[in-house]
Amino acid sequence: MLADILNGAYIAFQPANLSYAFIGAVLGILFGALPGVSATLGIALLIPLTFGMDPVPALIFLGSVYCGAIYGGSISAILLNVPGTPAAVATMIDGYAMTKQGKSGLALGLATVASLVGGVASTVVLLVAAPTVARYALEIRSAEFFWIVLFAMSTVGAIGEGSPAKGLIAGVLGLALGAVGAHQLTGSVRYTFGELALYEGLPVISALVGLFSISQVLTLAEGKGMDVHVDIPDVGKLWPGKKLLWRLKGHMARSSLIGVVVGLIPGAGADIAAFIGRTEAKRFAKYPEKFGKGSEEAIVGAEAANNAVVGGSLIPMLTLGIPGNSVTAALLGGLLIHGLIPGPTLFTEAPDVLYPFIFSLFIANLLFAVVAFGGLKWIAKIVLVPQGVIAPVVASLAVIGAFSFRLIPFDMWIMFSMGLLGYLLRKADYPLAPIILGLILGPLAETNLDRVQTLAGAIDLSVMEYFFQRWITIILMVLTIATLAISFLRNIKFRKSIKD
Amino acid sequence: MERLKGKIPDLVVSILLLSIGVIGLVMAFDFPTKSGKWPIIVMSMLVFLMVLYLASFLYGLRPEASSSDKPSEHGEANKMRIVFNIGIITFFIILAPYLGLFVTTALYLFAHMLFLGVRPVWLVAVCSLGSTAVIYGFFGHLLGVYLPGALLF
Repeated sequence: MLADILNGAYIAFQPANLSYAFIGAVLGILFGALPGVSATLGIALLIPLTFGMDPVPALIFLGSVYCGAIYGGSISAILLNVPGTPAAVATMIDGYAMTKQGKSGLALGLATVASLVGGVASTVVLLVAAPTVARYALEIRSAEFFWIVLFAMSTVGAIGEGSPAKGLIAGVLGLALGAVGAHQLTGSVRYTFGELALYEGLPVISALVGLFSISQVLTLAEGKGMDVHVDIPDVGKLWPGKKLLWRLKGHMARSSLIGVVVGLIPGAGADIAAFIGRTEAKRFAKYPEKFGKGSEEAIVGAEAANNAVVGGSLIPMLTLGIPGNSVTAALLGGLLIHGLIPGPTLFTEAPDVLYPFIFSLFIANLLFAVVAFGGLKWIAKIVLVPQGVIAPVVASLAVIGAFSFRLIPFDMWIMFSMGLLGYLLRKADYPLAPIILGLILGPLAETNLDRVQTLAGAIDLSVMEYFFQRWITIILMVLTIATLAISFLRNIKFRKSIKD
Repeated sequence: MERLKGKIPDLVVSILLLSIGVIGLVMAFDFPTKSGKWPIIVMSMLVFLMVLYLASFLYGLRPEASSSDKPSEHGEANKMRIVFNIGIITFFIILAPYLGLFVTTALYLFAHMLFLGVRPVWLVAVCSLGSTAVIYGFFGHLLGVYLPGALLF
């Protein structure tokens, strides 16, 4: 393993790969800083641009976009009181308060350092934990895998944003969309309506791009074209100083840990981590009364946590093939188009791709910090681009991306239809991430259920009897039922909170 | 009708998803046994959840319940504006295979930015041509992404 890690570092530090990481980090920051363009949307739009690349630079590029975008969200949050990504909302409260006090440079500097610490810490955890988890994951059998998928889908309702009921419905809709195409064992086609382009199922990339980009374009297009913030405050000096950073080290460490743990949980993303990080920072703060009025501890707590989600969320994605949130689902799409099937065997079959990718996350974190300290005052100007320009550019990238994937014009229509569906769902306050999770995990669940059925039949057991053969499966079943019960209770609470 | 104010998108989506579930379920019964099992399970789940959701939605429309309901967060969007936006993107997709992505992208960007109120016109022209050039030059040449042409270009 050590040889693989060293080889990974060597590949990641090749000049060409460093330049891809740099371009990815810069594009990620720009996407993250643009209000209305999330990390998921950024990755979804940029995946088609990696079609022509080799897997290593492609993944380095996408990983860097991920790191850059999560950090970039804090720029518009701090400067304009408009979060670039949902994860930046927690930063916005105190970041903008500091901007109003003329301390935007300090707020951005703290956000940059905390993001760097969170990102690097979570990558260390990923590097150490992922191969170990993958080794244990090799022992997982079809029955367990089936229930892991169901557990992951159930947590989306229990933990995800907004109404738990709508989260669950969106997840099941995703599973239903995942049933389109030929059955993996028998080859009989389902829901294709005679369209050959659907034979292999709904193309994940087109669905992903449409769902997140076209729905966002239509939402952006509701406003007037020149909606733009007229000016941004002078950023000034960014470096917060060694003394202040030393004082805040405990908050950064705690929030990094929170981010990693939250990242591991399916359905919980950077936004949830940021709020937990901020809340915990307040609990341990020297000046809790400053929270909401421009607290340095609050910014550090939120930013270290949301960036630490990156490494945590990649552990289940890389070792089990289970994306925990929409960004890792988008990244998983990126892996699939390059012929890499995430799962426990990936670490033994493609270490020359995987370890450079993990190392590139270290590099991306360092690069976004370098870019931020070197040129944030220019990068921040991106928030001045009006939505009337952003929306058509995003739509054109979506159409080109959908077409470029397989060069089938029908894919553009799939992408557009998914975009319209996504827009309708957004209007009705449905979360979109569970749909993509369901679309990706549905075929996995079905294949494993088929295997279970075959195995159970071979020993004259029913499927349910087979499930009760191993205690891990029973635990997973109990966990799934428990999370569904939590979803149900949360839904009652959610409805009550709306009425109040 | 007054009680439905602000909840119409929710109702439309609920009916749409229920329809998808019911149609999907009916179709699934025609699939061979082995390949039809999973679609039956998933579509049944969708139908079950949507029936429950619609029931609770309708229950929430009772006079005493709806009086304290919050109106939709999104408010009333300009529907015609959205229809035009959808129309412009539809034309882009229809024309792309015939005119080629390069030409269509430039034309689409120009038309959509103009429609969205970006002014002055020279700025729209610069933005649309510039964006097209960046997409094709930077990504097509620098990153080596294959960007397909079409019948004319």
